Amino acid sequence: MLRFKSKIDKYKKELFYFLAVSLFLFFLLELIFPRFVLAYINLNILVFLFLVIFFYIIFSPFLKNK
Amino acid sequence: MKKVRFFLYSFLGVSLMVLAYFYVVPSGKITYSYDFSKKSFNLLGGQGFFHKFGPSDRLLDKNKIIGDPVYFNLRTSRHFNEAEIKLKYKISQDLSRADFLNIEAGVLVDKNNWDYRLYPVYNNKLNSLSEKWSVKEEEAVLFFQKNNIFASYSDFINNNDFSKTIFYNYDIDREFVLDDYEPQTRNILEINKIRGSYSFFTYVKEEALNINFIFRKIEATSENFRVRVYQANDLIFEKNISDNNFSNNTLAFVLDLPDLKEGVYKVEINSSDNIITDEIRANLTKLVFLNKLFLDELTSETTIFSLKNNFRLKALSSEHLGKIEINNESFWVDEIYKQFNVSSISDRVDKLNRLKLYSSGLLIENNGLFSFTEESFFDPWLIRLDQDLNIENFDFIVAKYNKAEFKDESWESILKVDLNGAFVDKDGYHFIFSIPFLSEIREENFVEIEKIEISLTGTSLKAKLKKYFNF
Repeated sequence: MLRFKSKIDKYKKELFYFLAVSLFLFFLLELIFPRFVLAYINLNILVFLFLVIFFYIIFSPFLKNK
Repeated sequence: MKKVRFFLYSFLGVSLMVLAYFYVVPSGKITYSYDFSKKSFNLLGGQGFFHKFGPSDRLLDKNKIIGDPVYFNLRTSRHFNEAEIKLKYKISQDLSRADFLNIEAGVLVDKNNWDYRLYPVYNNKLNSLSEKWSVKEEEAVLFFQKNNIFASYSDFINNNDFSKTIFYNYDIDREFVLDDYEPQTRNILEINKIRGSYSFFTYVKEEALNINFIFRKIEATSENFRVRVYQANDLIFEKNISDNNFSNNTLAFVLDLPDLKEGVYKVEINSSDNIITDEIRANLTKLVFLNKLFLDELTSETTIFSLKNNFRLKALSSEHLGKIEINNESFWVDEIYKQFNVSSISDRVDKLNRLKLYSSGLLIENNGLFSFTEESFFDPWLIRLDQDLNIENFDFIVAKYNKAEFKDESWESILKVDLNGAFVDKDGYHFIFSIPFLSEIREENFVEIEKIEISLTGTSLKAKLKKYFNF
């Protein structure tokens, strides 16, 4: 169970870094080349996913302690 | 974990490469489409390329056009040379029974002049005549004959008599000559107070094209504008006037082109509405304005002459509201920013209609020519297909027109739009649907756009690189 939990923790951190890098790159590209990304992808979905994982990472230690 | 990381970042890399491909369009060819009938949820939810379809008060359910004109923009990442537009649309029953229906679409070329390059989408007269008259297609031109007189379009052109011919979306190269024209030596034409952009035809024979303009800026903002002269479709003179040329917000400009051969010349002033032409003085006999005149601060009543008996009028300030007369019939322009479509019942066939103005500041438009005196009027245009024409009086029609096809209860039209010189800004290319018979909004009259597909063609990346590196 513990091994499974630690694996999940690693994946969510990996996903968090991946989304952070993706969003940074997409925003940067959109700033330099308007319509590069937004014409095809709605970044709101990515931002939402990023925030969900971000808050989960922040609040999960508090949840564990309880 | 490394495998997961590799997968995620490879996915990101591939996504970026795909996005870069669609952004650069290295082949120079790309198709964008918008299907109004599909209500499916777009998972990736991108903004797409079509936007600003409106104004909304001229649309029902986002895609039923009930007012004229309607605009939309196509945002592209780069410039293209040509667009092939495929339209799928329905025409409401009431409209399809109308006597004359002409739908056009086009692209904005000049923002100051609000000038669109228009192409035919649907014309019910030509659609029905193509079944009654003999039609020959030659060099992408449709040649309609009531009685099959000419074996080919070339024979008809060589005959050089166009008095019984209607032209649609097509101009032929011909030399227009006024037989009884005599040049004048003294200043006889004086026109005052025209606001913004305008263009006029004038006629020259053994005389210089000499016109004195006095321009004035209403507000002391920076203004640049352009004066151009064309002979037929050839640009023969161009002058860009910058803000530095003005002194005390006014500028006297002399257009002097000597030794011109006899013929019609088109003068085009391309400026914002902040520029007023206080005076035009010329030793010319013939001078007619094309399609649009925005008169400013007239001090006395003015009469404008036109072969058309219908006008579109708009007042942009309450002090310019008032009465106008067309051939002694009175009309009231009593609301600002509203377009009034007025037409006189007594159309003076082959005679000039008189539009009498008692107040200044009116924007006057129609699809004909205007002059300020009866003597200065002339019409160098070929006869063009419009709803006022009685086709029974003509024997030939020459049209550059792709006949609309009726498939699965919808009409389908294909038009090729030249994008060279088209106006592009952050909102992309600006397109228009011109459907003049929808000028009076009634919900039962509509054109429902079902699908727009635009295939763009431009210079490929390979050709651009070849040109850049000269190999």
